[in-house]
Amino acid sequence: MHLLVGTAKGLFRYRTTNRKDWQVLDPVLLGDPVYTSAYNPTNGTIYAGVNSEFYGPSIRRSQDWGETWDTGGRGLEYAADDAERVTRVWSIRPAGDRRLYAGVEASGLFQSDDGGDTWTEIQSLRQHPTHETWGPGYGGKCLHTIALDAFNPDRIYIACSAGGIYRTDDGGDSWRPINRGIRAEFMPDDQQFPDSGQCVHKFWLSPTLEGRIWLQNHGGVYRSDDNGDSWVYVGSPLPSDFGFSIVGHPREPDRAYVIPLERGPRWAPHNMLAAYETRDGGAHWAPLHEGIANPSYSGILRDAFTADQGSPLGLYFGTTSGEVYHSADAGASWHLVAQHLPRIYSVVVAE
Amino acid sequence: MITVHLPPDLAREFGAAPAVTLEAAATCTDVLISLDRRHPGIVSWILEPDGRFREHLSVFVSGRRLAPRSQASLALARDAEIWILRAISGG
Repeated sequence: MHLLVGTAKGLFRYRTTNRKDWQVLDPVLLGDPVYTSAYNPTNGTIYAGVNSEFYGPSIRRSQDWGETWDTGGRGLEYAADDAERVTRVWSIRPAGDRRLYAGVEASGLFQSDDGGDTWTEIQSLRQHPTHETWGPGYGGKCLHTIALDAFNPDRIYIACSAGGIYRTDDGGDSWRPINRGIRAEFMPDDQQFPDSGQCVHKFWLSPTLEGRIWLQNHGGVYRSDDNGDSWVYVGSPLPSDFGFSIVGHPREPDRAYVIPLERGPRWAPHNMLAAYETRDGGAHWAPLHEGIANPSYSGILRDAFTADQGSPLGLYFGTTSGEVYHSADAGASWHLVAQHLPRIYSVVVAE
Repeated sequence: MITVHLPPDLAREFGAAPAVTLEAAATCTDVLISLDRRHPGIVSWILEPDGRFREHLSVFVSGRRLAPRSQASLALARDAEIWILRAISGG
């Protein structure tokens, strides 16, 4: 297993065979912000979303665990006369051997059917009539999450900040906002439940229970049992229902993990950094912080928390202060993999 | 002939020489298109789809600094020298 840590100044890599001892590999893609990365187990390719301040965004590919990289494919851009520009890559989602999806800033969705050689925008999304309700959050106007439904090959979910969560049931020909019941707390009191425009920070789609989605909003933790048609607020037991990341258990759909942060400053409540776990669909949440150095003044960004497929479950998160923690026992105890890295944007398990 | 000086890291990424000599062309865009034929993909790292230089590149043509985000379609002298540099605004 490799752990890929995208930071403000490059991609850091760690290798393990036992989820206990970590071999540190040289950092790569040095100097550039790496917002996201992905691994395609069907062909062994690693992808990195590299957002150069000088040369723009690119999706780079490596066949040797990141030792060497190509310069990326073509077409990851909007037309010359488009009112928006592609300024960053936020999300990369492999779908089989050759197909890939990518989420970009300003919020849009691209598809490649040749492994990332050429990219084409799925224009139906930005053409949705609610597009005018989308705006930037502090991190930018970003399409940050793409999920493929394990039960329906034509069903894809995306989320953008701000904009909300959307679903297609026809492979991307048409999209519908599925934000009903998700609060937009930054709106006037009488407009806090719009159809779109929510600042969804992250969602996680269950691969084992059809329809189950966990969602961390810009304020509010939610669960859906019907593919996002409706949402149940499950954040009230948490010390803060604000946060950026959320991770579900890959085999047990009632289990999920969040890392609560205060609305401001965006660090842990009472500076006690902890993951919180629910085992009952969100009714109860328990803190998991053994081994985490506290007090903490760090935040955890939306793509900096993830899980592996192991049993017990392995969990991994990276902080804005450059620490990487892992747990090989579903959060019961945490251990440092690395510290003193640049600001961490993403943590990805490649296995 | 036109000489295009590339930032070292960009040249390294595309396996290009730090200074590339190309046939004379009417405009800077034409020269960059011919650079892209030699190093496929490089032009999208230099220009945005609207034909303007990327925001944090500092470009000099025949000794004169272009304004940020200038159109690359400016006319060139037959022996023009183009410097593409990383602007300090980019970090």
